[in-house]
Amino acid sequence: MSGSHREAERLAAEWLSRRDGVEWSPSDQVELDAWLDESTAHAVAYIRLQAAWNRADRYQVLGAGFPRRHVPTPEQLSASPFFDEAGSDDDLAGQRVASSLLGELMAEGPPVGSASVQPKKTSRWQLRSLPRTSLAASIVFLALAMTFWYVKNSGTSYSTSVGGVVSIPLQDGSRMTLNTDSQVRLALTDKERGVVLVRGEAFFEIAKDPKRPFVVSAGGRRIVVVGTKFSVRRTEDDVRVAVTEGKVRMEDGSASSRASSTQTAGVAMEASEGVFVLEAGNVARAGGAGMLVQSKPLSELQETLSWRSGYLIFRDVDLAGAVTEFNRYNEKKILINDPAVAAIRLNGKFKADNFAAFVRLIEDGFPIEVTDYADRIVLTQRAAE
Amino acid sequence: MNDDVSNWFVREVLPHEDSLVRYLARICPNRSDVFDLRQEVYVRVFEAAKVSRPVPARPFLFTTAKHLVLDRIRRSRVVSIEPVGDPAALSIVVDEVSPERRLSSRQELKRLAAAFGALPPRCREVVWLRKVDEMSQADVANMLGISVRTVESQVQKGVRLLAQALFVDGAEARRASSSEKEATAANGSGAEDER
Repeated sequence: MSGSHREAERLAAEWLSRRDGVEWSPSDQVELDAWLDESTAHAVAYIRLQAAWNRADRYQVLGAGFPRRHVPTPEQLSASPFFDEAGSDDDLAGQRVASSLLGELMAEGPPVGSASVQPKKTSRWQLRSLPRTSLAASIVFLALAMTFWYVKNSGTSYSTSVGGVVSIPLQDGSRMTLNTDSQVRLALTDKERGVVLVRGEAFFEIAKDPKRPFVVSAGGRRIVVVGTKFSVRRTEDDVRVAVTEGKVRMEDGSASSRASSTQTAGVAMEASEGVFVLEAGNVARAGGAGMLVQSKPLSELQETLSWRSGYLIFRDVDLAGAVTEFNRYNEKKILINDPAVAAIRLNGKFKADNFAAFVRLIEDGFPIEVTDYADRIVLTQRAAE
Repeated sequence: MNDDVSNWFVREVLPHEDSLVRYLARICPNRSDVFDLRQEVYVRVFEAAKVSRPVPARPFLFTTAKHLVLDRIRRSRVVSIEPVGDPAALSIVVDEVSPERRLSSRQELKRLAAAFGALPPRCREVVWLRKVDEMSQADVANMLGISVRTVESQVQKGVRLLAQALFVDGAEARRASSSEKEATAANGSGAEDER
């Protein structure tokens, strides 16, 4: 027997590195499953290494503050400000822990109440993902990554699936970027470059052509452009337009728009009844009840458009809002069963398709219990131990 | 593989690896046997858990270890227990370490930071770029100017060293603070031998 366990570990490491690579295929998976079923010695060796490899995902937490693609020395890593905090190792692994994820995180926990006096044993690490389910998850992820680039071009209609973001160049030199679960239909004529946002969200960079304005229609609104950059997002209730460059004209058929627009903190110029001119920095939200226009710093606007590079950036939003955003990008939805949990506020920058990291973070940073079901992830308040 | 059992194994058994290794090192004089014994204990525990999961896991783990070593002694193979080993240790109550083995997030991150230092430089680069920057193995190879095969072999080396550092040498941190002598025994086993 001696030696066979070492051999098992060597092979397990080989399997793991292959599975970690880009060329992993379903038939490879079949082979791996067969190898694992062959003997329990294989299985335990593999499970153990996989647990270690999964746990290394958490270097992302320690990677906070280092530039991208910069490998720190062990000394730099140990000197991470993360470890400076006064207090014992066992304090509620808390708010500041969470705060360093991906560099930009500044999470403020909710009042921890009785939890704050917990002695040791509060937090725990658990690798919840079963090997097989995490394989499944990787495969799902792969599929998502592939649909990321897969745009169904049905005639003049473009759509993305959940998790997909795709950039589409148009003939006139304009470019549109479709966010997750979105659909647009082109309606090009000699007089107008028309795009109908059927659902979801899109960012437009419009090539100038005064003779042929670019018109985006969404939920009964028309956004008329000569040459500019802006996004349009259509939800069930409203249409949101954010302008990052130039001006757009928003035409609104609803009569109630005037009344409500006066109540806004907005700076939109009303050109004529039902027509607003939005400038760079303006965010307009047009719903059944009227239109709300706000002026925001461009940097903030750019952040809300960070989905174009696959990121979600949150600034002092409640967890309910953050989760709603994440759920747009993932088939497996996160549910919050507790108003106190929903009200937790956080900041941060996350990869839109990596909700696993997001969930781990909030579990670490807040007194939140995460229950991972096959089809959903449920967040509840963690009972004080 | 049974997913539920795997999950249970990761959650309930692996956290005890450092004390299991110390225990084995104490009752078995030949350090190079510890690795095999440990894995053999895991095999037995895993097999048993397929039928019924022992709750709590820790006492079962150590009982299994003890029986395994006793079996070996009886059959007088592989393990020579006598002059160096400590047969008395076999009857020691093994719960000298707090049964609460779950680490706080921060302790876990400290372990990770320490484990990072245990990796050779190239290995470190590969693990970091792969895990933190989420680059593919191919992209990592490109960036570092090495072949994909080399990246693969660094992942293999990295994951074995990480497992060693996270599961076994975790005791190091405690040893540093509480000067636990036994922790040194843990170093003799596992991937570390093959560094």
